[in-house]
Amino acid sequence: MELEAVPFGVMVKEVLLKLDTETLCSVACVSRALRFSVSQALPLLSSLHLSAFSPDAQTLAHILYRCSGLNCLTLNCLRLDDSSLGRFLGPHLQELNLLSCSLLSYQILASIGETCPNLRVLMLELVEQESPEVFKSNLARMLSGCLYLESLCLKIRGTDVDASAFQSVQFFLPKTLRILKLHPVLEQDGIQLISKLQVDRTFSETADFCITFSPLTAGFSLQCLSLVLDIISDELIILITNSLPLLIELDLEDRPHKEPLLHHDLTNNGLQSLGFCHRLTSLSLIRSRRNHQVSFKRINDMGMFLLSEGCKGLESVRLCGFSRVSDAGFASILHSCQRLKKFEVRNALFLSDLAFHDLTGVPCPLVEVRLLSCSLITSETVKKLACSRSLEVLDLCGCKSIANSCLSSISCLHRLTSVNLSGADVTNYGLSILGQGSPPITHLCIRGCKRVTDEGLSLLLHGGGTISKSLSALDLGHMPGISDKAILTIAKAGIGITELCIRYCFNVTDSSVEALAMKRRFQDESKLLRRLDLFNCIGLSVESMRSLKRPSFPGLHWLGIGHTRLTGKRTAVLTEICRERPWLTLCLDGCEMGCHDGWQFHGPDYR
Amino acid sequence: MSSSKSNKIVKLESSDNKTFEVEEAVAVQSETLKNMVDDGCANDTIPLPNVNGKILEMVLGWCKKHVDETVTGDELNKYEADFLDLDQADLYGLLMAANFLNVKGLLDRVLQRVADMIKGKKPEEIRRIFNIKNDFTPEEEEEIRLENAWAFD
Repeated sequence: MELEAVPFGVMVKEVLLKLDTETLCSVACVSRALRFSVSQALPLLSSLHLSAFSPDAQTLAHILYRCSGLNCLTLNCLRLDDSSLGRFLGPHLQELNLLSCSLLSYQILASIGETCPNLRVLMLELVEQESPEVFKSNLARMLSGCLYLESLCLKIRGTDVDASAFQSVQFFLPKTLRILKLHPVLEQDGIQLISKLQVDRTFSETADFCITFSPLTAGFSLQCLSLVLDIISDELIILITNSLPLLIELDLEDRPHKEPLLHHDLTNNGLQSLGFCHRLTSLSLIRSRRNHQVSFKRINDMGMFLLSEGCKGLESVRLCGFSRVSDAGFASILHSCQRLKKFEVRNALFLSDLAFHDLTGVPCPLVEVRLLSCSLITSETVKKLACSRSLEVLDLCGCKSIANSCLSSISCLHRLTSVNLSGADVTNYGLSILGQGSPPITHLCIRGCKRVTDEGLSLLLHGGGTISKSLSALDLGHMPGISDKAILTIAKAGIGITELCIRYCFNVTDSSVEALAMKRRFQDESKLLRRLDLFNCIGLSVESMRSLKRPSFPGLHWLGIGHTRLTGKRTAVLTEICRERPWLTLCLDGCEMGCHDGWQFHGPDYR
Repeated sequence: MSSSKSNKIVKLESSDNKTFEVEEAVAVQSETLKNMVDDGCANDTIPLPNVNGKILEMVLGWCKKHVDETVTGDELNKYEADFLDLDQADLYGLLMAANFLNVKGLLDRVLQRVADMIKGKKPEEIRRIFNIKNDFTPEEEEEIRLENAWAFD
């Protein structure tokens, strides 16, 4: 077949535009004609999403200078500083998402304000570096330049971030704002913010008759609000529901440092007030335990009944830290919200199979279900959930009572793509069922399933089911039963696998790394391994470093080698590896895949 | 307008002189044929000198399936997935035919299939699959590798 003979117009527009950036770069190296075709196709791309890859400055320049037609850019900025990013900002940008900005200073905000006046969507994840005052002044400069912002998401991360950074931000927000997400915010500042964002009173009364807003409206028309606070109180929620009755999405999380006071907490009254937001389709209430052992102690089943009565239109619900709510409360949500698609519950002590008992009688088109650390949940619940044929995501991380029988229940769900059974009581037999089934699973996590051994992996990938071809991300962390044999099976049979985590697998040795290095050569269709986590694989020796050099591990973008012998000293080999592959991100700090959880602690070494 | 239109048969002849007769409703899935029907040129056998019999039969099979109202959404998806499980020569022929006959849904699917064959492949592999010669000089090759190596090296 001669690809180049295909009519030029068809080639450029159609086939090339269906390809991801990596493949386009590969095609450009095939022949002169295709190099030209790619150079014609790249300026036609209007958006670029590189969230899974952390480019260094040089690689970023190589990619971006050819894409002159971009107006929407998503970048993982783990290794980028102000200067390497600055030259790609400009008035052509309408959407800018900068993730994991561990090296960017607050100045970037001012630069964005000066160079991107047409920005509609902005998302920034920054590290806390300087005083909140510096942040505030840069933020004010950004907001004075970007006057048409519709979506603003700003997160500052670090250990114990000073939460006064967003104080007084309400005075600068453009009226065009529809989506606002801020982290962190003090509850008192949040109250000031919401008061300012109040919808024009006359509008809220006629809200039911309004379909579109006149652009001349004096007030804000905020539709989505997301805040990470020090405390969620009734006062805050009642103010939100009174001021923003047209809210579609509400997402509140708090991280109290001490036990909340009686009069300054979220109670059933707060939940009841959510009924005023008639258009609410997405609700997320989280009380995080990262600073103190806390939960929503003043909310019980009555609060849930009031919520489910008032907000029947909910399509997505996430409830974390509701330790006093029982099955009756959770079940009321499932039964009342007929359009519920996404359901997530975390740290619910009393959630058991009983809550899902009558699910088969309810027309719930559930698409995503996440029940995290709910130790009373068993395979019976999964059997009930499997009646929802549209199920795509099933996350049962930390549900210790889940056993093999749940895997039989899900083996005929044709839309299921993501399964998390971390910490479950699953064995090799369970994996054999999964290996023969038809769900096109792309993401599988069986971290900490101690009874699974090499045999299980073989049954999974050689079972003849869909998963052997569809699986692209596999998490086998903390599994003592996994050894070189399993990794060899993955290297040979896991043709779609591009992301593999084997952290804390003590029995994995150098031959595993060698096998993975050659993954490509075993089978033609085998995809390039892009991300590999070897954190704390103490069975590896310094010798395995040789396997990390070119041409082994082609296309590797992220590698975690903390707490292994490979990082004993800053050896010459490690430096050589970084030199010949500058686009490879090496994490020595033990971050999870792609440093998505620990990027805020990385320093300039990662440039 | 007239009821006789719904029973009209369109006759097609492939490059290797095979004739096919299909209902008009099936034939007009192809924009090219639809234009001919609308212009009134479809009364005699329409010759298609750049589409062979095997490929034409496949294309018409696709069109028939998409007109059939008894086929469910899921069945159609499965049909489309199995349809494209072809060897390269047939795939290429299908691409040319779908392009010439302008059968939108089919063309898009074949292009997607070609894209899927290229995805995630290294340059040498793409050359091997599609039999393309490497016409870069060593200097050019080094220059272009520096620019693009991050993707596959």
